[in-house]
Amino acid sequence: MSLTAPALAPAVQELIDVRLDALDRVLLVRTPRADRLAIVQEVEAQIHQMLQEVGMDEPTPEQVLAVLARLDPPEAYLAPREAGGGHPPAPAPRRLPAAATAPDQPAHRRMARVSAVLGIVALVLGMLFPVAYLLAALAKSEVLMVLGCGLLVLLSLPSAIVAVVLAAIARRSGGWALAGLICGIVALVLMLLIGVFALLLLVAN
Amino acid sequence: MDRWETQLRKGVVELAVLATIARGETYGYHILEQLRDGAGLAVPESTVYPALTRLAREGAVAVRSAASPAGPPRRYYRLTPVGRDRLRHMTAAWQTITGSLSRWLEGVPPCP
Repeated sequence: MSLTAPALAPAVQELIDVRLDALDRVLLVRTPRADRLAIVQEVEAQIHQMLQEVGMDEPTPEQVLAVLARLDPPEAYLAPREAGGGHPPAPAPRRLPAAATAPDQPAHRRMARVSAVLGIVALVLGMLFPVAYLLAALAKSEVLMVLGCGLLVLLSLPSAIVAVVLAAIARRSGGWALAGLICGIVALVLMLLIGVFALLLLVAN
Repeated sequence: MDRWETQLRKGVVELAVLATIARGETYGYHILEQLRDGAGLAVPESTVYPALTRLAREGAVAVRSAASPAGPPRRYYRLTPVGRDRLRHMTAAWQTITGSLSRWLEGVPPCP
């Protein structure tokens, strides 16, 4: 908030601050700091002038929202820049730590897809465990039970672990990574429950 | 067609902004108003403000902050010699391109 801006009601100022913060975050990755601060200051000045133009000395939150709705959304500032017509190019965007940026490499996208596939496979295998157990119980075959259930666990557990690891590496590559992460974690939880179930069976026997 | 027009407007925003500032020292929101009301160019602020910061960084405009009757301090822009030179070159290029294209379009048969 500017030091010289007239005091607005806290609820109103918060609305403006939220919009300015959103704009600041959008600009953070691609814009030099000085430019980012200048753009946010311009938008803040515009908001106040627009409020004054409509005679809003003490605007209500609804009135402020109406003014904010007339502004370009923060995402509009990400549009490709206009042609410079032969002038020196703008400085390259600042490089931030990997956690703050969205990696867009093809390798990460492939990793994310593999993670999703492995996570889904692990989840399906884990969900087949009760089926395998019931079939083995119906057949009254301990060999079948050990082989079937053991095979499912042996296939599902590493798949789930690899899915989670790959999803963590490709964490910002969109929905695939998220799917791999969720399916992998759910499969691991299933394996944990199966393990507990097996232990209880052993103890009971 | 809308996308082409949008890109065309974006392509000339720097020239339009320099030409506006050349009329006298002014501030960001007023540049938007002058472009909209004076030049008939409704250029969004998400295009103009980054252009202004880029022009300032490249030395084409000088910036000073001054108190505002409405809200936070305003950033006032004025052309520097670099900016005036850039405006002169861009204006010459614009007149050449538009003159040539206008003449070329005269020979195009009217669309049915």
